[in-house]
Amino acid sequence: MKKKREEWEKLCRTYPDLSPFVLLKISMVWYGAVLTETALDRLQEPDYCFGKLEPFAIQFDGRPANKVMPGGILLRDATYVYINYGETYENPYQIDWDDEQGEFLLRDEDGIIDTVDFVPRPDFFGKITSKGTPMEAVADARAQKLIFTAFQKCRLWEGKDQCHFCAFFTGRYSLGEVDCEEIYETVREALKEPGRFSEIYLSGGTDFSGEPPFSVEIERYIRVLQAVGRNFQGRFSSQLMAPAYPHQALKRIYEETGLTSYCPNIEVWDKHLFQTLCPGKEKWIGYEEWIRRTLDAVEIFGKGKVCTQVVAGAELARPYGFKTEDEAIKSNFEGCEFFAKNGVICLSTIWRPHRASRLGFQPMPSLSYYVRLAKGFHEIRKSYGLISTNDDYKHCGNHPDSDLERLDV
Amino acid sequence: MGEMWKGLELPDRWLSPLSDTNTKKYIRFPDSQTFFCPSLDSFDGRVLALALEEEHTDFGRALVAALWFDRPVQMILKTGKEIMGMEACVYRCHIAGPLFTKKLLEIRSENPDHDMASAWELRFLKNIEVKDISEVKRPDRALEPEWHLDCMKYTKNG
Ligand code: SF4
Repeated sequence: MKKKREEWEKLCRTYPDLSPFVLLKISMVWYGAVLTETALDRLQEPDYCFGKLEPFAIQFDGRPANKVMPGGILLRDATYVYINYGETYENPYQIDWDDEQGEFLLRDEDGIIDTVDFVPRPDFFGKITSKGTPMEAVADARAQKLIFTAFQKCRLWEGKDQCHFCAFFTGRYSLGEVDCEEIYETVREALKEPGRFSEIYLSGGTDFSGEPPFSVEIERYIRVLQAVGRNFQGRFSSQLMAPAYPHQALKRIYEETGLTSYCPNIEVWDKHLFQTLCPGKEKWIGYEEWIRRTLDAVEIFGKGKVCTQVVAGAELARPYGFKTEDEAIKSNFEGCEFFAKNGVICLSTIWRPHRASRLGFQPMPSLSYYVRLAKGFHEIRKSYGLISTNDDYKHCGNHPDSDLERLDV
Repeated sequence: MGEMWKGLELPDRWLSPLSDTNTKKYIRFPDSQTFFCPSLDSFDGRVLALALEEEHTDFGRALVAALWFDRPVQMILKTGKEIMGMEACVYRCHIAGPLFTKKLLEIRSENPDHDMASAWELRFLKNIEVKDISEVKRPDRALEPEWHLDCMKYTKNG
């Protein structure tokens, strides 16, 4: 069995200019982590206890029924680490609670690696809307990001056209379409906690309903953003993650709401793999059109305010993927460079295979693949003067490449 | 990483000048950049904490580099003619949680229009001798404002 600390220290020596915390994060996501009973008990207490209801619910079998899963992990530099708690990992890190020190400890098989923390429970959890819905079912939270899922299912699953790596909404709880008044009330409540949030993030499963397709979804996002916006004067720091919409529709969204950033995810850069792994996106919009619309969005939102992400590793998954990591890296760098040239921030996120997805549970690419990818994406964007203020360590935390930007500007 | 996580107790002699409003406080990084650091204090005699107004600044980057690469910094206090110095490690960046909220409320109690990007926790390593304090600067400004959303919220009074 591999020694995680040794491997991580070797990475730190190989890449002395990269953040050791970002390297640790990549390793933690790669190996996974489990919570000791003591840690999980500590995380049930009021300062950390998260909601029972997760708006983007994914099905996991290994979660104790009587305990609530915590928010994400925060390393000492506030780097965010998202762990699929309850997944069955082969050789995971362990997170324990040290009562004497009053700290959570990250361990591998040989001992303590560092102290870590968790995203604290936001004050609005436990509150209910005027219609009686628990606010934790309306919004999720990271350290600085308030997350809304406008439509808590994805219609691409209906015709088995879902993205092959996706396991969203496979958990049992779903509100379907959320209520705008409840969103307004939840934002209002969340803003009572001083300094807790600096970005609002809106997304949802794909809904192609309406004529032309997606018109129902576009109207829904406008309504939701307007409801959020009733809490602010003018524009507010926010991001919409949604399909690639036509220019006119996007212009309406921008002009009629306070939105500041837009993120239509390409998921896979290689055209053939996109068409295979994202059949619904191909069917309803198409690869070329998805890219064209993404570039067009820069005219509306501005350079660096349009993002797209690749689910890094899915392009190597069996049976369709690239045969070698070098081919996959080359393809991803080409995509990142193409977008950067056009003012779009292309980010990578680490693919965690999931049993409930069509690709199923299978080996991930190597750890060093993800390190090379994070380093390369960061360098490419930097060379084009791009910085991701909406998807950085603080406002997202899913992207090791943007975690590396903290020394740039 | 693992070796330093406990930190050291802050010697008693630091507590009174830290809480004295007449004390001038500075932080000096290994590349000699020295910044005014008026928010530095210790609420429990062990942990030192400072408020960083904006992250995308020279001050913000210096703190990140010190934390990422384990580069000790110097904390300097000047009360009247007396100068005290310590070497400290930049231990943790807080963007939520009790220490973050405490520093933020301190900043806002001085001026309700002020905001803070993050709070930084430092740990004492050793006393050092500091002879002079020169070329002190204020942090530059971030390209984009770094406001929390509750500073932008709509109120009936405008
Ligand atoms: S669009 Fe794809 S990734 Fe998003 S929820 Fe639907 S199937 Fe999943």
